[in-house]
Amino acid sequence: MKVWLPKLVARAPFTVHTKLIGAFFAIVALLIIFGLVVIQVLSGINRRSEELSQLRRKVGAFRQLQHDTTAQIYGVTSALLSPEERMIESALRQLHEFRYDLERLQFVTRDEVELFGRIKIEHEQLIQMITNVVELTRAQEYKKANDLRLTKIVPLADTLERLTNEMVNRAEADMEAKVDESNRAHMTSRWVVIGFAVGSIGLAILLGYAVSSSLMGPVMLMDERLRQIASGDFSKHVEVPNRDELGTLADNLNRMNNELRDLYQQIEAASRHKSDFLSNMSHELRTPLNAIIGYSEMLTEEAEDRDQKDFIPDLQKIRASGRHLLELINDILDLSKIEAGKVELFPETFDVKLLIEEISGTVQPLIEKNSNILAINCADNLGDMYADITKVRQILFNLLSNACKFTELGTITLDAVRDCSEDAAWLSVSVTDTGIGMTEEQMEKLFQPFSQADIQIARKYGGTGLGLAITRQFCEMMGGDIKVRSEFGRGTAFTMRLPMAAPHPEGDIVSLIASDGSSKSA
Amino acid sequence: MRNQKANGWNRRKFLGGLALTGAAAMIGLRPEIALAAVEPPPETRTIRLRYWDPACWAPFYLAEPFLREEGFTDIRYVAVPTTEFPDAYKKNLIDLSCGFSVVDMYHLEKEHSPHKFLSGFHVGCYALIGSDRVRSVRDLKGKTVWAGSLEYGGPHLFFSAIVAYVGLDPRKDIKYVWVKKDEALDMFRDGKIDALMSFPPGPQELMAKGIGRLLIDTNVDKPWSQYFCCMMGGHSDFIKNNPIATKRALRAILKSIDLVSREPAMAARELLARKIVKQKDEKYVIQALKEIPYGRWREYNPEDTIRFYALRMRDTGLLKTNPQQFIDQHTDWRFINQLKKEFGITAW
Repeated sequence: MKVWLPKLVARAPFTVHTKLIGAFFAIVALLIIFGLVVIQVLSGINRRSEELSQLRRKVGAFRQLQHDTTAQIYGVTSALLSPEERMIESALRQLHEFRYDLERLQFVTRDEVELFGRIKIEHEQLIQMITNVVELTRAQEYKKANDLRLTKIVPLADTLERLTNEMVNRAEADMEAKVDESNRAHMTSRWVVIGFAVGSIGLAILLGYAVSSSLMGPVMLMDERLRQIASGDFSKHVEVPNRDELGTLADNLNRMNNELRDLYQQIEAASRHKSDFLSNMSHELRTPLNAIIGYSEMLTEEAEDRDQKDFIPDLQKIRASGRHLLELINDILDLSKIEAGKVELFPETFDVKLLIEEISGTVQPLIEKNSNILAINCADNLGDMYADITKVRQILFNLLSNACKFTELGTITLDAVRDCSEDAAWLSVSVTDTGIGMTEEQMEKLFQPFSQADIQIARKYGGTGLGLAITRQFCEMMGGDIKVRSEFGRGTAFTMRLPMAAPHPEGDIVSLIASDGSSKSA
Repeated sequence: MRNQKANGWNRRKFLGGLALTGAAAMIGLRPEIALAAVEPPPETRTIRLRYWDPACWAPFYLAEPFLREEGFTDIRYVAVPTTEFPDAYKKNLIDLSCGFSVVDMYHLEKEHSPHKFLSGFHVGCYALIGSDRVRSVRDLKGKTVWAGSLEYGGPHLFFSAIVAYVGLDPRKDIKYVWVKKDEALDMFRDGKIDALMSFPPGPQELMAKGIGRLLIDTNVDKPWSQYFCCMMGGHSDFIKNNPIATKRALRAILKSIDLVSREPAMAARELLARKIVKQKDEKYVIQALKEIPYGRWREYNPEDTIRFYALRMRDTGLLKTNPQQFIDQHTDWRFINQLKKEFGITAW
């Protein structure tokens, strides 16, 4: 049910609006039925109460008649014992009451005509006998009167008592039956009410679950699919059973996915062609360029040897331009290699501190060029690192040369620490300058290839805009990352983080002895 | 359960039957016999009747000659004590029975015994006798009482109905002594128990000896005297499969009731002869048979007895079914209603 019900609701060929209205009306219908059942139950209780009340009236009437019978016998006996007119009148008076109560009995026993008929006959006989006894008493025929009382009236009274008892028993039995019926009805009503309540709650939950699942399920699937599309995965389609608006939306999403996939494939192909082209072109350009640089150096040396110093500045310009062009081509080559997935890592163990000292020496001319000061703070426990030293060197060089380029008369600080958080050892190097800094907008496109902060900066400071893109690619290739903080006009800080131990080419775990003597493993 | 169709009975039965048939003719029961002759013969010639020790069931034991006149040739009496009564019906050992109405009702519901009430039998044989310390039924609260040797037997259930009628709880307000009848009579004489509920000839003996006070005589005291104490019933299958036999057997027993009502002494002698009662109890049995108003079956509506006792038993929690349901499920008045017309009865 957990699966098929939402599917069933989803497959129902109605709009979401209709489905929601349908669920609402189903619950309302249940509530109406529930209300009707309760009204029915209450009516039943009321009816049974009235029936019980009628039965009580019946029993009361029977008892009254029994009382009248006894009173009659008593009255007749009294009249016989004391044959005064007053007593005789009293006995006759009781006969009226007797008739009146008989009429009352007739009224309350409309449903028991036969038994009432028998009682009535017996009572009429009794009334007749009593009248006879009274007449005999008035005629002072006491013996005859007493005989009549004993032989006729008393047995008749007994019969009457029995008959009325029978009617009482019937009424009581009916009452018991009503009580039983009431109990059964109560039990039934209770279970019906509980059943309806549970059913209503269950159905409400079920409908809620089915409708929400049939709506939210596809929405969540599409959301997940959109995330996958956003991360470049166009391989799947979202499958929803809905035949409503959500089904249409899913179809559109799949169509969009297909179009984006085709577009992406085209872009990828174009990018690959670009990288191949750049790679080939760079290679083809470097060969003549190396010749140009080589020959310019040779010509410079020959000019020095022949003391033709007028040519030297021009030759040096050729050489410098050639080198600059070579660097540019190398960067393009690097980037195209990275994009083409052709860059390989060659990790080795090296002393981080020595590497930093070597690079600081290399960038010294750049430092001095803009009259900057380089401050290097290396932690004592830096120790050895297992990584591709060429790439690490290039990263640090890029960061420092960038800092030099955008800082004048300032300070460039390199902080290197060993960070042992997250169950692994990390090398964290920050290069902070007091240069021109960047705006938020500039930072957003900082690591994008061929992009510099803005055109003015590119014109003023030169450069290809590839350095930081390559730097980030190298960091990520080695399992690390790079972050930047900057404040416009105040300076910039790049923080690079690399694992102290890169995975060994053969997949072994490399153990490094930390400078503080503790064993670290990665 | 013992089958009493032993050889030792045959001569006595023959003589007894002859005498009873003669008596029946003498008291004018012949018209009904004539009616029986024009009716189709019974579906079965065999009938199995329950017997046990209550002297008040005398008409049942003495119905044999009338049964023969109705066409039964194989008449068997099967001894069934109260404790085995439901089983006797369940195991199909008896076809017709006479029993204490409340006991049978109790077993019908509790044991789902497959039998139905067919007719009333007689009114009030029970008596509740109290010691000098007890003046009314309500005085029995907290007192020690003998109401039979078995819990939920006839005396106990009748006693329960009687005390519940005046608001006592038969289970909580009374201390019971479950001993044999003779021992109970001795204990009563010795003042060890305060009241005693029994059927003939126990109460008659005690009264004759001036021991105890008669608290309730169900022969005459209302409302108990207005309802059958013992009733007749039959196996549901027997009734269903043999309606003519059932009617004929019922007619025979009703004739026997009339006979015992007119000739209690002769009936008592037959009970003695058949060793159903003891010789020492003869005069008490005669007295009991004289006192029991056997003729009431002509006047009282048996359905009302069931209704009345069902109400009383519901009061004490001994019966769960409501009276009308019980009547619908466990009674069959077709036969007695037909016989009523034959006997010219219009009382109910």
